[in-house]
Amino acid sequence: MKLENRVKYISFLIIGVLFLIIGNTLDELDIIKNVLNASFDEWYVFMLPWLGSAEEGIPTPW
Amino acid sequence: MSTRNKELTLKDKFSNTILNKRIRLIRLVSQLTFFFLLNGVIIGLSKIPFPAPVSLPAGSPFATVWGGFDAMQYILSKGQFPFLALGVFFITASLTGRFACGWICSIGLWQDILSFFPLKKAKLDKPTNLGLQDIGKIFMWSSLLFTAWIGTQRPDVVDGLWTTIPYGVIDPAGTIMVTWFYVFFWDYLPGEISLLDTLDQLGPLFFWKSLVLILISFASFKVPRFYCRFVCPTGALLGYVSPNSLLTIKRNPLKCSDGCQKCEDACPMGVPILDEDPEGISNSLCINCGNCIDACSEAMSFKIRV
Repeated sequence: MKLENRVKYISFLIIGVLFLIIGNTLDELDIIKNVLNASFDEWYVFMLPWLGSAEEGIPTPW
Repeated sequence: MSTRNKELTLKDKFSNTILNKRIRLIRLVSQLTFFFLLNGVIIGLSKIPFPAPVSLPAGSPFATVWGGFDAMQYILSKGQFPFLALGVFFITASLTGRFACGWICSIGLWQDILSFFPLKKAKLDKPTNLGLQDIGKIFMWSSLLFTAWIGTQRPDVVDGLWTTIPYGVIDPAGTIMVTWFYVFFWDYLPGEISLLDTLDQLGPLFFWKSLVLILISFASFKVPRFYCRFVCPTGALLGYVSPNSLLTIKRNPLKCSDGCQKCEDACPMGVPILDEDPEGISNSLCINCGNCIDACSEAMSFKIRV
C-alpha cells in the first residue's frame, strides 16, 4: 500500500474526529433537532415550503 | 429419470446462483435492513437528530436520521459551518470509502432493483464514465456555496426549499420519500385538502421533480447506478476521501487470465478495475459493493489497508 494513501486516510480521520468534537461543542445537532423532534402536524407545516403555494408557484428565496 | 436429472439441474442452478452471488445477497439483506432502519418511523423507531452519510431527504416523515448532505446545506443556510456533518462524512469515507452507497443507501437499493430488469445494459467508455462524474461535483459545490451565501444574508431570508436545501429541487430521494408521499397521502394529513388541490398547489415543482425521478429511473435501467455514478452529490462528497479509504478491494494479478474482464463487467459503477493498483482500488467511483468479488472470488477480495 502506498504511504500517501495511509497518510491521507489517517489525516481525514483525525480531521473528521476534530470536526465531530467542534460540531458537538457548537450544538450543531440542535439545529437539526428542532426539526426532528417535531410532531407529524409540525412536519406538515415544515414541509409547506417544499410544496409551494398556488399563489406563489415555485417557492423562491426572496 | 430425466425428470430427476432436471430437478437436480434446477437445484444445482439455484445453489450455484446462491454461491456465485453470496456477497450480493448479503448486501441485499443489508440494504433492506437499513431501508427500514433509516425509515424506522414506519416500524415505530424514534427520530435521532444525526446526519447520516447517505442520500436521505430532510423532511421525510419516516426518516429516523437526516441525510448528511441535506444537513450540511441546512446548517450552512443557517449561517453556521457544518462541522459535525462534514466530520461524519470524513470519518465514514476514510474508514469504509463509499461503502454506505453500496450497502446502506435506499436510493442505491432502488437503482439495484431497477437494474435487475433484463434489459441490455449500456457500457460507457472509460473517459465518458470518468468525465460525467463531474455533474455530481457541480451539484455538490453549487448547493453548498449557494447555501453558504444564504447563511451570510440572514436575517433577511425567508426559509424555503430553495434557501435551506436547494438540492431538494432535484433530489430523487426527496421526490419518493417526501414529495410523492405528501401528494399521495394528502388525504390522511391534517386539513381538508384534496389530491387535486395538492397538485394545484405544488404546481410545476411537482412535475419537475417527478420528471427528474422518472428520467433517472429510466437511465438506471440502461446504466446501472446511473444516479450514484454521475449525479449524487452525497457520493461526490464521499468520493473526495474514499480513494484512500481503509477498506478497499484488492486484485491478485497472478490469478487473472489474459483478456478476462469479469470483474470490470460485474462492476455496477464502471470502475476500470484492471487499470487500478492491484494492492487496492483507489477510485472515487468504487462503492465496495463486492460484485467483482462475486464475479471472480479467486482474484478479488476485500482488503484492510493498515
